[in-house]
Amino acid sequence: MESYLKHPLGPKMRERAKLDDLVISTRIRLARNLKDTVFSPVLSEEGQQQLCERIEASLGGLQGFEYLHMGAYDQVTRQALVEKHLISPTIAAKEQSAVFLSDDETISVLINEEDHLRIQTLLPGYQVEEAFELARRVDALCGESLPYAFDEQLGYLTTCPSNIGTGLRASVMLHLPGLTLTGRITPILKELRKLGYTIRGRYGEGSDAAGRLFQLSNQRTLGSHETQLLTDFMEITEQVIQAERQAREELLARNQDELEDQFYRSYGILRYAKLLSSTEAVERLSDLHLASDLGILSDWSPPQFHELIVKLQSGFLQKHFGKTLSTKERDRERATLVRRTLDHGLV
Amino acid sequence: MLCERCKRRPAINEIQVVENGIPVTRRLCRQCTVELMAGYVPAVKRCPGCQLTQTELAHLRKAGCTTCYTVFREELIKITRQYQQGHDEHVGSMPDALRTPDERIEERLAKLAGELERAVEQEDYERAARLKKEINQLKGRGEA
Repeated sequence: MESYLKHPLGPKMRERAKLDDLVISTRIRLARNLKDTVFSPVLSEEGQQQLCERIEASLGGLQGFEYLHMGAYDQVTRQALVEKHLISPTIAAKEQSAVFLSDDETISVLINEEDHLRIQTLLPGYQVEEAFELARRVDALCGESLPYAFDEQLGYLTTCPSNIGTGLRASVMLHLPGLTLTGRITPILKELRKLGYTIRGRYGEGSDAAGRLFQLSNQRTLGSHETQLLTDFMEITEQVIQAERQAREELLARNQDELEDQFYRSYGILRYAKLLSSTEAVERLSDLHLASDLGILSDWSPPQFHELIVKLQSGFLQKHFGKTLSTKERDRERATLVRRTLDHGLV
Repeated sequence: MLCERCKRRPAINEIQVVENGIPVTRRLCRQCTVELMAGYVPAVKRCPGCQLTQTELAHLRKAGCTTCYTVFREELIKITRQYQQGHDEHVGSMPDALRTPDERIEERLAKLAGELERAVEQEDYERAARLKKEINQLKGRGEA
C-alpha cells in the first residue's frame, strides 16, 4: 500500500499525454456481476467477505498487481486512494471490500462496489480508446475464471439497470476555465444533459465547479455496441474541447488586462496566504494553469496542476504530514505546501 | 409450516393459484415456487434466488441477483428503459465463455486475416507464411 501513497499521481499519470492541457484524465469503467452470487443490496457482510476471498483466489496470480483489502486500512489512507481516483467512495466506506491495483496505477479491479466487480482503467490526458482497450483485456482475463451474469437480451446484468448492457462508463476530467469565465458553461451543461451525458463539477456542483474541473461521462450503457458508445462519447467530448479553445481565444483577445490581473491576484494569494481551503486552492491553481496555457505564465506546466490538486485534498494532505489534522490545521498546512511549491516552481 | 405441495420443505411463500377456475392461496417452499411459477399468480411475488420481494424491488429500483431479472423481468425492463433512454436490447459484446467455438474461430480468423494483410504490406513473408498456415489449420477445424 505504501507505494501508492508516496506520490499524488501514479507513474503513468505523471507522463505527458494527448490534450493534457485540457483533459486531465480519462477513465473507463466496466460493471460486472457473478451469476451465482446475490448482488450487493442483499449480500451479507459474510457474503462480501467470501466474495473478496474468492476473487482474490482466482485473480491472485496476476503479475504486477497488489491486492488491498480495505478492512486493513484506516479511513485517511482509503480517502487518499479515493482522491487519486484509484478506488471509489463506495469501496472506501465498506470494511469488506477490496481492490486489485496495478503497480503503474492504471488498473483497479474493485470488489464489492455496487456491482461485484468494477473494472476501472485510468490514463492521463485524452485516451478513451486506449483506456477501453486496457479495460477490455482485464475484463477478458477476469471472465476466464469468474462466471459473469449475462442475459441474451439485456447483456451484462448489473445491480442497477442504469449500468446494464455493456456496463461501460467512459469519463473524462476536463479543465474548462474558458467556458466558465465566459459564462458559456451553463447552456453547454444543459445541452449535454439533454443529449444524455452526465457532467458534474469535480469539486462542488453545477456551473460553480471549483477549479472549473468537470467530469463528463456517458449515461446510457445499453442499446449500442461498446465501440459506438465510445465514438459518440468522443464526439461530444471533442465538441466541448473545441468550445473551450474558442472561449479561451476570445477571452485573451477581449480582456487580456483583466485576465492578467486575475492571474496575478491568484498568484499573490497562493504565494502569501496563511490559510487555504481546498476549494480556494484548486480555484486559484486553475487560474495559474489557464495563465500558463495562454502563455502568460510560462513556467507552470499541467502535470504540476494535476499533482497539486490531488496533493492538497484532505486525505492526501494528512498522509503527507503523517497525522490527523483538523480543518483549520489542514488549511494552514495546505497554504504552507503551496507556498513552498511556488518557491521552487515559479520565478 | 411445511410446503403444501411437496409437504417436505418449509413453506416460504404464500402464492395464489387458479385451480378449476377458483383462485386459491397456497403456501409453498422455494423449490415448488420456482417449479410452479409459470402457472401461478403469486400474492407476494418473491425472487427465489435472493428472497427480494416485488415491493422491495420497486422501492430499490435495483436487482438482488441474476434470478431477479427472470422473476421480475417486466419490472426491471421497465426500469431499464427509463434509465437507458428507451433502450432494452443489448447489442454489445458478450463474455468469451458464452461464445460458441464457431464464433471464436471466426473472430480469430478475422484477426489473423488483418495480421496477414499487414505482414504482406510490410513484406514480412516469413510471418505471412506462418499466419497463412494458421489460417488454413483453423479453417480445417471449423469445417470438421
